[in-house]
Amino acid sequence: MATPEILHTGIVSRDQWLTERKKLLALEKELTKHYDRVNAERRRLPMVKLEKDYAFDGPNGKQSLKDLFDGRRQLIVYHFMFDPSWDKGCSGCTGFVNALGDLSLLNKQDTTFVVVSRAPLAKLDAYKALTPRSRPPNTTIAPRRKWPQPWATPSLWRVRSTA
Amino acid sequence: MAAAVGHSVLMEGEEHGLSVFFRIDDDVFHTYSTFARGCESLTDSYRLLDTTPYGRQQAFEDSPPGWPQKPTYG
Repeated sequence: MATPEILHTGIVSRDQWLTERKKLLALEKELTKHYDRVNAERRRLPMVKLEKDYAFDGPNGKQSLKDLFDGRRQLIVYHFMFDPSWDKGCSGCTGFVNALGDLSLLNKQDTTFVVVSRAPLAKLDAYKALTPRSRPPNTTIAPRRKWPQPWATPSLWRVRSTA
Repeated sequence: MAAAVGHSVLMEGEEHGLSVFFRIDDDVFHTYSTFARGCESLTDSYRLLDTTPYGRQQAFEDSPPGWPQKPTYG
């Protein structure tokens, strides 16, 4: 059987390559600067005060949204797709969560990261037990109140303890 | 694929998202939310693959003809 053709880009001299690489570098620098500009605007976005209470079920029982901050100033919440009628979580979300590295840097910057899902805690725990690299979760959620986002309410699946 | 058609249709109402909140004493404020590709910051893998000739190997990418590609986020 013939070896399948390996598709690749053109093969050139080192000098030619360097010329092309420098052209790309100019675009990359443009992108980096644009990224900085967009982030600068994001840091200036106004905020909206939440008037409702949100409750989350977790290994430590029921927690409010404020509890999830763990005393820190900022909170990042990842909504993990797990419809209450499903037996397994979304594979894409699972990939993202499993790929998370050490988040201690966030904590040092006064920021807590949690994962929430709408499925009941028992389902989240069962699913976590199935997935080899799953993080130790601590929470889930419970409540019937509306989440401020398009994605309804949460069970909270806290991915990484902030301890 | 899901990205092209719409998460909400394929995922029965579920959509992944990142939201950010800020706390001042007992008050909590919503500052930011993002969905779909806005959540890519969760992983370094895509940015790393972006440095390779084949890239992420997903269908949405503008790659030379015949490049290995799978359905987006498939």
